[in-house]
Amino acid sequence: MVALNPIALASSALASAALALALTPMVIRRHYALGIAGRDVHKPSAPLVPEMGGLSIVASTTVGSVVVALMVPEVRVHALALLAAFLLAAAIGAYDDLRGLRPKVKTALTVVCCTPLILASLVPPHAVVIGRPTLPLVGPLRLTVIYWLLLPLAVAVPANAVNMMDAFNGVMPATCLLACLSLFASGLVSGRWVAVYLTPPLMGSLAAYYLYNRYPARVFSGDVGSLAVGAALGAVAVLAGLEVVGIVALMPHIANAFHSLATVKRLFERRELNERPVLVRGGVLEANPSPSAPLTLANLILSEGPLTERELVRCFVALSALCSALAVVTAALMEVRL
Amino acid sequence: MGRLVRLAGVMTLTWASLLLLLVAFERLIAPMPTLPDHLGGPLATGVLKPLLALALASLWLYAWRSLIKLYRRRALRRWTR
Repeated sequence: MVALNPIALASSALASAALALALTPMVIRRHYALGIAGRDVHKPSAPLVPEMGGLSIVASTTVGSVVVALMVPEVRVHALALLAAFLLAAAIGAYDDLRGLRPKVKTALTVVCCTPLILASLVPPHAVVIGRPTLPLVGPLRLTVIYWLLLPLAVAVPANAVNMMDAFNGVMPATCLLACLSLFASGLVSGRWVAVYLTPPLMGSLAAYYLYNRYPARVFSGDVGSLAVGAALGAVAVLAGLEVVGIVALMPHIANAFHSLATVKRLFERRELNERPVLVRGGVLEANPSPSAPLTLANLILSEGPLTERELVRCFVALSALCSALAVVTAALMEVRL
Repeated sequence: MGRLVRLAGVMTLTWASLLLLLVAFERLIAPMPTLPDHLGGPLATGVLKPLLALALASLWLYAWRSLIKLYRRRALRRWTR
């Protein structure tokens, strides 16, 4: 049983938020100077925006997680395993941003990010217990083989799903912050303190970073940010035994990834698409009605008519808020047996 | 606002069906008795159970995809009307 340490929670969240607030403007200036910038294709003027702003999320979350590891010895191994998975995903994302990786290679590499979680559970003192998920309305399950076969996907799927939804200003930090909040609340509801301690550093970073990434974005996260944040969410869900809660909280991201992949029928990069899911007409965004356009969540939302980017982002946030609330209900249902 | 309510309905339906799927795993597949030895015994049961779970999960994914396609078809019709 881990005692709740509010000072550790507040310190880790505040440390990471302060660092993200301080680092992001520096990253913006540095990336302008180095020419690491991409076009914001959803604006009529397609302005150049610095990429790889996710570096500030990576640095600030790392510091916040170290604060947790130092202040709460009971979750030290969990925090270090999470940090290792997070940094592995960030390294893959950074390489992709700078050099470019083929979609299949990138996805295969993110599968490796679950290694620190497996090692933390296998290596003494076995502080991390994984492989016994609790399902809502069903109770704890002992999956001796299937769980370990699916475990690599538990980090790779959220990492790539979050990466695929990072297409509009502010969507990644806002929706992931909501998912993080739901894991934190689910941890409180179900008494899984690992989730309560591991989420504040990420919440602090994302909240501060959102101020720079919100519409109109002054910086893009790049794969370094989105892959790392997605991997961290998956890792927290696994380490806290909140796998189903994580799936529900990330349902918009998973829906976006699953339905686009099901339309295109292969792994893809946005730049290699023949038909974009969203068309820019003047100041508004429209769904591409072509049956071969990827059926992304944006395409789905815009199927009922055009919206401005700001309105579209509000829809994303509203749907994420709903799924985050459903995730907390799911956590409460973990204590209910049919 | 209307589109948001309809999409929220789709999301909630997806969530509820996901919970039903998990209950189905527990109620239908987990309690399956071990097959007799002449049908493969515990080894065959160990292979059959995950395959049945995979089939059920695939069915759920197919239903989800169909629901999303139906929503999109109707949404495009509402927009172009």
